[in-house]
Amino acid sequence: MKARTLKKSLTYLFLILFGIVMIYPILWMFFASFKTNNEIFGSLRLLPERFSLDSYIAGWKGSGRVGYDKFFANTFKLVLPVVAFTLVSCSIVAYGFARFRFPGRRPLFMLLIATLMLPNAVIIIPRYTLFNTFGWLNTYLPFYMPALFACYPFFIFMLVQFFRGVPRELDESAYIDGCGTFRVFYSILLPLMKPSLFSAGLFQFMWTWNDYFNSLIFINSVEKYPISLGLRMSLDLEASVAWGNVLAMAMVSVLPLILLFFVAQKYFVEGIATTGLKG
Amino acid sequence: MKKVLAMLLAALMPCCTAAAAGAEDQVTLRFMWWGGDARHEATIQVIEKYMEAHPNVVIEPEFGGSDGYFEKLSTQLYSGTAADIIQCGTGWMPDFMQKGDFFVNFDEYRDKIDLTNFDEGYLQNTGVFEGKLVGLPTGVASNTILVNTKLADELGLDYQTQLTWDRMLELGRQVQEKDADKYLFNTDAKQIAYQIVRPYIMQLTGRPFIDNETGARSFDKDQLVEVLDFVRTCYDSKVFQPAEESAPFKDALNTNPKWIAGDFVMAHCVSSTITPLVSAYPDGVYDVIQVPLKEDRLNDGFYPNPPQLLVVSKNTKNVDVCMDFLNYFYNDPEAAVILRDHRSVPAVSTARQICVENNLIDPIVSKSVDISMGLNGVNEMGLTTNSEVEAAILDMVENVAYGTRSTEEIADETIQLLDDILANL
Repeated sequence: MKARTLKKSLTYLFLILFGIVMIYPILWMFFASFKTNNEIFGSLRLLPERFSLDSYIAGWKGSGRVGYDKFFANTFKLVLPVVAFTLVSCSIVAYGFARFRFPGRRPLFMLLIATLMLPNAVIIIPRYTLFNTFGWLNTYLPFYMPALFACYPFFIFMLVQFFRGVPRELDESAYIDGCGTFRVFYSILLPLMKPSLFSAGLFQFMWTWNDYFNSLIFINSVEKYPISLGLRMSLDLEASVAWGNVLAMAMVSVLPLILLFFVAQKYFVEGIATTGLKG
Repeated sequence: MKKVLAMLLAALMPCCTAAAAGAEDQVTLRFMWWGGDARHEATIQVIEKYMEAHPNVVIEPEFGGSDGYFEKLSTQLYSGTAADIIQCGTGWMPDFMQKGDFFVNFDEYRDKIDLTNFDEGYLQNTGVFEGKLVGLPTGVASNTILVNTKLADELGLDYQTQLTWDRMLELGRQVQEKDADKYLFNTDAKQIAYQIVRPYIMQLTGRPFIDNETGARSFDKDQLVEVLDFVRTCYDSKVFQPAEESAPFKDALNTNPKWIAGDFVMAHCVSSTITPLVSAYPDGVYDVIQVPLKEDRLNDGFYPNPPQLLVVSKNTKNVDVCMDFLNYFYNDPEAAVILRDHRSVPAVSTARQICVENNLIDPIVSKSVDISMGLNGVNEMGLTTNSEVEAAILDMVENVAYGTRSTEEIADETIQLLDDILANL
């Protein structure tokens, strides 16, 4: 009995310590957002000398006439459709690969998985040339369109794995009751897939939200900048950067991610835990 | 106040006539630059003033931080989607010029843009690539040494006597003797490459590190070893902070905690990074001094150079409007007051004068430029600033700093690597 309590408390101690290590950077960022430059670089103390919202107010104004209200609006305009499109397109494609036998299914699926291995740096140039010919530069179409046409093999793979875990008997009984293929997908499988759809959505939300390089390359007008570009706008080697403002805005910009994670935590964990589980 | 008013009036008059002349078509231009908050704000103000005077012109600002700017610009240039007016790093120009014909030659538009207020020699030395005047320097900057004179006086250092390489070591040792926690120089691999390796070699050979004329390195192994030994001695005798400690703050010397605590006497910098360094430790008292000069040198090894150039894209449909805007940007007194030294000390003499008269330039920054104007080093832009060559030099410096191998071995490796790179160019 005693040994068990000891073991348990040791486990908890380890978990707490590990938790602190994980949360520390965010805590540091939170407190640093109240500090002056000298305090940030010159002292090792976690707590700031005084708390004031000045850097939040100054930071929110942004730089060069465009404020963070605009950046936030832009980011949502960019991220929400991308997430919605990805979920719709990827789940349909995954349904096709998981449930239907058609000529060339295996080679096509292998091709799809192969594209998973292509690093972004390799495809960015052909993509840029292509989107340039379409006249899509400086719009959000370079983000919407790949999402709409299921260009995210990772999510397709993840959802295929999940589909495989759902017993075929369910589909068959639905067919017997008179459902068509789309109805089976829509009424039977989609509701079952909720956890994995949530985790795919969360991942996509997070990645698009944090993405810097693609927005940098495709977006030119400051008016259309998402937060990731806005945050780095005042960072220059030759200028004195008000780090307090930057960190304050960085704090504000990760809040939606943190909130979303906590709100959808149940689905998130469930989604990861059940993908690839064969039933 | 009167002076400013008079300037405003003087500025408005030519604008009005220009507006009346070109008021027919609606023109949209894109202007892209990088910078910090102050530069963004000033540049936007100038654009707005110009647009007020020219209602038919819309200039769309595209700006951001320096992070990723080069990648973005390269992508845009190669796919023909670059902005009309572009702020461009000087070191990138030779690469760009080699790969394509991207920029407008300003010489062909001398009737549209007044270039007479630039120092012609400076313009030729910095803006001409492959025989074409493709870039206009935004300012004058130079490698310089910032001294915290308060600390120097406390330690009893004589920093006023002209530095030589040997004297640098001597001063560094004096600092360490007085206080082992303090160092003479706040520096990093890049600064060592720019402010020691390249100029030292040029002082020895009279040519840039890689000579554009011969397409080969200008030095032999013994000369390189001499320079590397000097750098190693600087580290060994703690003239520089040990590389393991200073590494996290490379490219941002102003964030080194020891600098913020006032434990460095000097810092390697360029005119445009003086302000961030000073504001990182405001308790210090600052001055700039002449860079180290070898007694028996072939030339000074240092020279004034522009921090950036403005170029006009060859794809622009409105070259004339671009030229007119740049004419306003560089020559107009009103623009000069707004832009002040946000792109270093102005390269245009009239603008510089206005800034000095109105106390818009930090005197230390101005002094650093004045000192450098007398230095006769050869412009290195070209093969020396090629990205592969630059990376090879940086690797070499870091190997010396960390003491991985003997300087002889490092010199051998680097020479081999450089010769390979140059053979493939």
